[in-house]
Amino acid sequence: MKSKLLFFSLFLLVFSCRPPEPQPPVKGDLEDIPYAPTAYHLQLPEGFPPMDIPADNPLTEEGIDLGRHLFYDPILSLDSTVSCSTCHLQEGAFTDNKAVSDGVMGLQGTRSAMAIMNLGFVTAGLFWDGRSPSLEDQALQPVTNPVEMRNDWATVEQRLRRHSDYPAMFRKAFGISDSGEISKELVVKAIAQFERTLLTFNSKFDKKFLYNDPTVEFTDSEYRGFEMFFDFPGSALPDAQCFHCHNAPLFGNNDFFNNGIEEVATLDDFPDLGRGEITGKTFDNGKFRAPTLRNLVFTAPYMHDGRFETLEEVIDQYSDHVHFADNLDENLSFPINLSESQKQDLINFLYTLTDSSLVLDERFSNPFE
Amino acid sequence: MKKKSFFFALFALAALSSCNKEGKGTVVLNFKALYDGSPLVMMEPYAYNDTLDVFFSGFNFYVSNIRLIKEDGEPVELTDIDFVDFDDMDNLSLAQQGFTLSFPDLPSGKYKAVQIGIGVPMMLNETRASDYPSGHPLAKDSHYWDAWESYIFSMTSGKIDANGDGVFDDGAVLYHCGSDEVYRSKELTYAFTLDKKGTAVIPLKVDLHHCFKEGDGYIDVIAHPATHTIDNLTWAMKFMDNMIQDFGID
Ligand code: HEC
Ligand code: HEC
Repeated sequence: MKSKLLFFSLFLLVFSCRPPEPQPPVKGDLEDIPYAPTAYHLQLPEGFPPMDIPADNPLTEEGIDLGRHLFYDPILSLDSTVSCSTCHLQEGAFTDNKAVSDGVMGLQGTRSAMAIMNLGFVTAGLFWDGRSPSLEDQALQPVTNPVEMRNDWATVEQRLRRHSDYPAMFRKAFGISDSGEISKELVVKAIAQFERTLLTFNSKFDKKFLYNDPTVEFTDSEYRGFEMFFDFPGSALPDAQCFHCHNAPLFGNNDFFNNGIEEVATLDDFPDLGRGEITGKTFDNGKFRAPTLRNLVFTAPYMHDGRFETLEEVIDQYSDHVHFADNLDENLSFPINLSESQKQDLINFLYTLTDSSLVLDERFSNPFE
Repeated sequence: MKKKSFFFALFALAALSSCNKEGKGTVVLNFKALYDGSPLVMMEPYAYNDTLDVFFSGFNFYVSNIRLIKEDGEPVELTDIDFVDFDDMDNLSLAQQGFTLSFPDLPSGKYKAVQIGIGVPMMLNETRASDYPSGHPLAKDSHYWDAWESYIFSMTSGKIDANGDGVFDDGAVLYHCGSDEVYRSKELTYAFTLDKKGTAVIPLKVDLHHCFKEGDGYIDVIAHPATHTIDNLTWAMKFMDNMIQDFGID
């Protein structure tokens, strides 16, 4: 009995191990195109933190180039009129300089487009409310957002697979062997790679304080603004408290705050609940991620709803009109009360965070032009 | 045959025990924040003194150079730096659970004490947030104070109701304590046995109200709402002195 069983199983084993009938090999339509991606090393300056790059999406020159094309290509939107760059323009440090952005068919959202620069350092989640965990995840959203690109991914994938250039670019970037393998996952990986290269660290501030360039001088006014911004000890000037939420070198923060711009009777009354919408906690209502203050000269209007046209308005707000709420950040609970000239000093300091190389760099520009 | 199986058993034993060399266990530090002896719940109003009510929106601090001391006096290092954060403990059950730090792979045996520092020790305080990858306790940009060239060792924030109308808009408490001078450390006597593959919990507590003690009462937080400038460390020192004094086994 036992030996019968043994023979039977042996037979099964032999049988099942037989190689399948030879089939004509399925050849992907892209296999003749060489796949030899070139690793891309981000040059991060002294004084910047290391950047988290997902292990499954290393930067390559081919991936970045593909991402740049996709970023600028309206092919992603329903009626092929809107690209990422419609709302994220290079000349605006990748904002659109509108309070709220226009999507397809003139539709509008409720928030202001955010600048895309140094975003590889954001770990608290992307968007004003931090609802998206990664640049890859974030890039999935606009395509299907009903007031942005209003498309569906199946359509986008279909268009890209049939395109005359994209299949080869996907092959070179990700080694796919068939155009049928073009997927939304690869689209957003490429876009995220491109976004991680959108770095800015060549401002006057950087030159003076990060690279200690002896030829760069701050004016007295800029220096006064600097002292107030960072609450310099021993300075006779008021503490403007800015650095608590906009710390160097990134000048943003991986956390969410109520910075007192909204007058509300209760925490339920914020017109945009911001972070509270995501966490479901009342105490998070009206909190937003503190964005970077780099390149403000290019990114007006300001705040999540673009309510302030000018930096003068922003500084007036922080100095004289901070609204109380239970969750107002305590750093702003004490009136700052800057004089008019001190306000100007602070603005002059903020302008030292300008790095026009970001808006001029050819590598970040529209590849179709 | 017998011999063979004997050797096999010996080999298996050796293999097994090499996975679990001296017999390792896990130590959990369970920190609880209290207010007058009860679990501190964020955003919950408390009486501060005869005239003021307060609620807290944040309480967090660095802990450092944490060591366990074995019964024979030999120290066992747990970590050089970590971060204890009560900011999200906005209900009683979270506050009762407290904040935990776990340290696996520690030698089993008898222990008699735990050493702990509050704040960032001098060597590490020479570094800055941007030196660290995200996720590292010292990578917190909100806890690095450029102008002080120091980390903020402990951060306490809250709001005050002084006129009894139930609205906490009469002032704020903002105790940011930093710089090498306010680093504090302590050894706590605590006898426990860590079993092989076992877990030992060390219950720790600090009472936030006690951190504000001054004389027979509490720091006048209307007059001294913030410890914000390095030129005047008086209240930061006071706070940190109180904190380390109150810090103990729960
Ligand atoms: C119709 C205008 C519009 C289009 C098109 C658009 N965006 Fe945005 N983008 C926005 C707005 C508005 C926000 C902020 C939304 C929010 O916070 O809810 C935003 C936020 C972002 C952010 C978050 C930045 C941060 O600091 O958290 C990134 C990244 C981004 N967009 C990338 C893209 C990419 C990639 C595309 C194309 C796939 C794209 N956007 C298309 C308007 C647009
Ligand atoms: C308590 C944290 C906090 C402090 C302190 C703070 N900010 Fe902000 N800041 C924020 C948050 C959060 C936002 C986004 C708020 C929103 O959009 O509703 C913001 C937005 C801004 C913006 C608009 C940026 C943009 O891209 O739209 C500017 C400019 C700004 N802050 C400057 C300053 C200055 C100058 C100071 C010091 C006077 C300061 N902030 C202090 C948290 C803070």
